[in-house]
Amino acid sequence: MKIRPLLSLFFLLPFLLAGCWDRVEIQDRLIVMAVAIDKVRTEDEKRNFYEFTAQLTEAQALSGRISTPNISPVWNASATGPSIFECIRILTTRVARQPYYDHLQIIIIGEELAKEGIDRALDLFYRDHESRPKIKLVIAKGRAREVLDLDPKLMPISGRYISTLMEEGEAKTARFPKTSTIGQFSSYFHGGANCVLPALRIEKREAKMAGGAIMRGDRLVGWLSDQEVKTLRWLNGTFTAGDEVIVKNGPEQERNVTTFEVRGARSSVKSEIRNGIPVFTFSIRGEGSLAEDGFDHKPSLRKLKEREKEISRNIKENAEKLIVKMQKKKVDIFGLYEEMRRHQHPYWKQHRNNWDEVFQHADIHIDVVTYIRRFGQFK
Amino acid sequence: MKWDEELANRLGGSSDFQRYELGTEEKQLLFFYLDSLVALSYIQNHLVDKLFQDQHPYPLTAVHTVDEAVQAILEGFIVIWSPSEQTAYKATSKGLETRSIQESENESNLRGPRDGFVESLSTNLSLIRRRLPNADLHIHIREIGRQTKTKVALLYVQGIVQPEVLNEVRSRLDTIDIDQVLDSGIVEQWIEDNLYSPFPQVQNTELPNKVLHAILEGRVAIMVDGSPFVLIVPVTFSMLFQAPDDYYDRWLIGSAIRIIRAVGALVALFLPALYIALISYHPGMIPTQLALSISATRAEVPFPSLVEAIAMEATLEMLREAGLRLPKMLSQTVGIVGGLVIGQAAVEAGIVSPVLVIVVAITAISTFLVPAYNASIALRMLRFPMMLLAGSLGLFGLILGAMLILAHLVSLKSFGINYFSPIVPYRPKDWKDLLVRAPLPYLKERPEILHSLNPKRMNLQKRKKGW
Repeated sequence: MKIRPLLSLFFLLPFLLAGCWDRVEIQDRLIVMAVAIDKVRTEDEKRNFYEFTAQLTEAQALSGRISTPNISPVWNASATGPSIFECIRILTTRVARQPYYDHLQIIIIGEELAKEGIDRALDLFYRDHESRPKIKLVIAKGRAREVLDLDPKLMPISGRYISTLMEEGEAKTARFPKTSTIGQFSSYFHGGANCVLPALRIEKREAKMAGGAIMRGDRLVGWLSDQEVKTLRWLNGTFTAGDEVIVKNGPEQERNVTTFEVRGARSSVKSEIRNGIPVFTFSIRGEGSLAEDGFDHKPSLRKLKEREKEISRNIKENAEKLIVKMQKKKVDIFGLYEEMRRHQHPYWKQHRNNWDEVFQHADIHIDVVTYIRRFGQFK
Repeated sequence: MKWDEELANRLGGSSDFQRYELGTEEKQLLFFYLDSLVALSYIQNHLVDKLFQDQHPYPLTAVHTVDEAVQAILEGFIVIWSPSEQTAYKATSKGLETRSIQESENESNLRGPRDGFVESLSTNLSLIRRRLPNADLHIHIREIGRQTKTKVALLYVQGIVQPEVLNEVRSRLDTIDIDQVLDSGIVEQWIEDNLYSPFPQVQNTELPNKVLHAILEGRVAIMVDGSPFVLIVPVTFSMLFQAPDDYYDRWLIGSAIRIIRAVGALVALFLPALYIALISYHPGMIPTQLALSISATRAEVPFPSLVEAIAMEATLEMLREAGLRLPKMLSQTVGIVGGLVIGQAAVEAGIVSPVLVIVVAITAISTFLVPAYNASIALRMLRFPMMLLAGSLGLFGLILGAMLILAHLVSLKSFGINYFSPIVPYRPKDWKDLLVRAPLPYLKERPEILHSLNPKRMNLQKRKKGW
């Protein structure tokens, strides 16, 4: 049979090819930990230019194996150009090793660029095979590059520090918006919805996660405080633990407060059309325990019920305030557009193009129920 | 005197052929024997007294032809020629010196009997027969080897073994026509299905219990005189990863150990290749922190990971072979030189990365997990083509190699039984004794794949659920 030698030749041929053409050893790659994208304008204001900064990390210097002072573990290399890809190619004229974006942790977008729209800047990162949809996306108040230039106390690489900060914060508090990766942003934006991205501020040479950036489509239209972000997450029911609610136990005792530690929250939305106006009802249910109480060490069922009611009222008030604010701004950040598309399809079809106006006049109700599951022992 | 001359003519070419004359005038006896096999003192002490008593006839077997006599002498009998009667007799001698039954060195087990086979066929058969005093245990001995005339025994349990398998084994043994059968390995290589496969299609063992377990499942054992390794056929791939301990220990322990072995086999085959693929092609699949530290340790390594890994793995194989061939006292030194000096020095010199040393060490340990030495060697050999594939095509090459190996395993057969069963073809019943060794009452049937004539091997009717 002639097939056998042919077959073996077929298997041997790959080895004779130019040989391992994709092979780049790990130490020859320069891992990019973070990317900052800012807007710069040329003087004649003709073309929009990006200022692209890649945070390159030298692993060997990072590990302390070499102590040559001119080799630094982190290098924020910048390039400006009309497209991100061009910027990356311009960088290769200055960086001697191949930047590698598979380990990219976070993309930070500057405020000015965000106001003009971030979708075009992120396009490369959605498409390229080296970057993943799980890369975190943050809007910086001010210039994004300055965030990368920070020297955080706990980690040598600022990009990685911010990325870890977001991961840790996600489990401990509801102060960060839920949408935090480019994949999530892309699915919101390309689905026609608005969203809230995490916002970052530099405060006393430190990076601080500060509330959310309201994105209408891909444009920054305003900021949410971290208390407002917490309320947003109550409305979406998108967090399991970490929030706290503080209720005053009467106006005269300023310092006597009850702190409610949330252990779980759920929310559901029901929609209907009444007199041509969409009516939404949020049902929020929260569970948790008492972190600090003002019971004077004499808990009773009646007092607990009172506290629960107080907490629910507090959440409801905050939510209503946020909804009014967003209705004034005409930005639906609550995912109601998607809710309409799913459950009120004919109405949605009719009003999909003027949804912002419809949203402004939508009737939104909120029901909050909270349960104190445990209040601890203190004898 | 015709016999005398004839025997001297046939056997006189060897100096160990002895002709010993004894007797008085009226009664004379001639003894023919090989003094390499029989001691003269044995004749004098044990035979002479009895033969020279007057009660005839001798309590001995008569030999009728010269050919028979020659063969008897060569096999270690003493041929006695009585001129007065013109008759020849043969008498057994003391038997040959053999190694006493010892614990098997190659297959050590924690639980279960320790005795291992030795070089003598009769001793080995006694080890089996002693454990299975059953008329259904059939032992057929034949002679194979033009020159060596080695005795080869075929063992099976009538009524359990499937006749087709038995006939297949018999007919393959019938074809053997070879000068020498010095070890069961020669028989194995003659009768195996695929000469070019890296995987063993015949199992060998030194443990009588393993043989018994196999023949009671419906397999056939082949014993070769002069070899302590008994062959078991047909073999399935999973058998090579099983040890007798699995059955003697409680099922949870046995199952856990089997799973560890399976993991070990996979690690032995794929880990170095995976290392190469990840380091050279897909660093994005390594967690960021690890990628940073590997990158830092590899900064001074001048070779691509493929060269680095192949060099270290080859060194390891050299060390292992050196340790095997050297006297036992020296092999420890080799271990120290190899493990400590080479590993440490190579890392410090910056020729290999410390991560690779860990990979090589884990791989080495994993190969030792496989109980069957020949299967472990197969995995060790296949590691190198896998590394080449991973080094040239990355993870794609790794998957390609894995698929080639799987395709080969699935198509392989051992004496008509699919090698990769019960996974392919899928026999869900046999999975009870595959990765997990199910509790004893669940194993009440013999493996389905062997199509035993008597599939049930236990009756649970008298056993209560809760005692």
